[in-house]
Amino acid sequence: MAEEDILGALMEQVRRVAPQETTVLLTGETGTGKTRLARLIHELSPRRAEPFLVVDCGALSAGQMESELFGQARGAFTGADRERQGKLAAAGKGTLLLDEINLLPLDVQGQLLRAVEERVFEPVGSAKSRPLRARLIAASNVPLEQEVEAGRFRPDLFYRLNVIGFLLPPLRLRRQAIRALAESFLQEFATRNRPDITGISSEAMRLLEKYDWPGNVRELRNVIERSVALCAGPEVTSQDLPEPIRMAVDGASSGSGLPTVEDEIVLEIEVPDDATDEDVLEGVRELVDAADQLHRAHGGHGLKVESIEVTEEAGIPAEVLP
Amino acid sequence: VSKPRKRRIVIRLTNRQKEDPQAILAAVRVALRNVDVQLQIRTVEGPPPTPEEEAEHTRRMAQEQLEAAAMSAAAAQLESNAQKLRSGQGAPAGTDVPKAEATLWERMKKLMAKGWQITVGAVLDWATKAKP
Repeated sequence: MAEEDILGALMEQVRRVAPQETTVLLTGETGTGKTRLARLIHELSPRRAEPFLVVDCGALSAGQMESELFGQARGAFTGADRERQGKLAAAGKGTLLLDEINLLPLDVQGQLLRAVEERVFEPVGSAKSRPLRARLIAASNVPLEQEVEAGRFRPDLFYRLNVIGFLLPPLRLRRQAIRALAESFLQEFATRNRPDITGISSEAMRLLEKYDWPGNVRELRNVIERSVALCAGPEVTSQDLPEPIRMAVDGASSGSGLPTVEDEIVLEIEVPDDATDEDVLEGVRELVDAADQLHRAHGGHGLKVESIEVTEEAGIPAEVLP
Repeated sequence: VSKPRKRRIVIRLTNRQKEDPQAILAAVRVALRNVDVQLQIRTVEGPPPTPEEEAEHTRRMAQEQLEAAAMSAAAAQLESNAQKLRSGQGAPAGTDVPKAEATLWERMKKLMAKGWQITVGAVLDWATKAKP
């Protein structure tokens, strides 16, 4: 599977960032490839020969997570009859992916902050500091800024983790990648299990390209694996696809009850701090003008601006700071 | 440390004439999404901000004057385009899609090079996800 198919233009940036020591924050919905990207960063770094470990920050209670991350000394608490190494130590000089960092309990966030800042940590029940040698990559399936605003995530830790941030867009926002991904997955599974399968029919591909893929790349991969296994002929046809995909597309995505984006284009823009009002006006005007020209080039009568909202974030509320 | 002091602009566009097929809108959306990957780089230059440094509230504040000015500038541009077409000065509809796409991408890349982060449909997607 070519990583380029999943990551597209992001690949070049990953190659640039991977050899550096900086902490990386990956944001994307479930199934967009965050773990895969973290592993790729590890493999492209000088740490590639060292361990790559993953810890699911949402899987355990605060106490258990503390032990999971930092380890525990013998006698740290009742039942701790032996020393246990945590993931920070076990990762050695490798890479530790803190998956679902948005779910890390607040108590543990404070301890992790110290480890990130000072590069040392103490196992539970031990006063002896251990050096943190691993590179940390954090992943979140919601924008972490939202968690900071809601008071569920420490802003100081957010700043430390978000030295470099990658945003992985959901598959429904990059439909142009679906064909290459599907073909690549098909090749992978056909080579492994069904060398007689040669491709995907045009009707099946149409359905794949129209489906919204709530499970993103992971869901697409699973669907292709399943279709290859069930396929009777030399080509994956629409009949080999799971019913929800056939129904969702043929039924025009009906039944979900969710609003659709079919009747409008929503552009969300974040402008840098140094952009003046004039810069904003000129940029908006140029963008809208170019989109309008493209609409007309396709034979339409042009676009209309329904609304423009401009908001400013003025800082972090004092009450969510430690 | 960079602080989340930034401006966010949400633009909603739709067909000027209702009889235009949604497929045209979809084609424009697809073109916009071709520049859909973002890289945010922030530099850590010092310790995190103290509570005193961050005493300001963080609720998003509407910038109504800029909103009105942006709405006015965008609407004027679109009206000017429509008028040119009506008077026969603009390019006829249904021509040179690759050229129009190239113009769009060139402008988006220019803005992104200046630090603009442009996402298509994300607001609605996140909002949709957040709904029960």
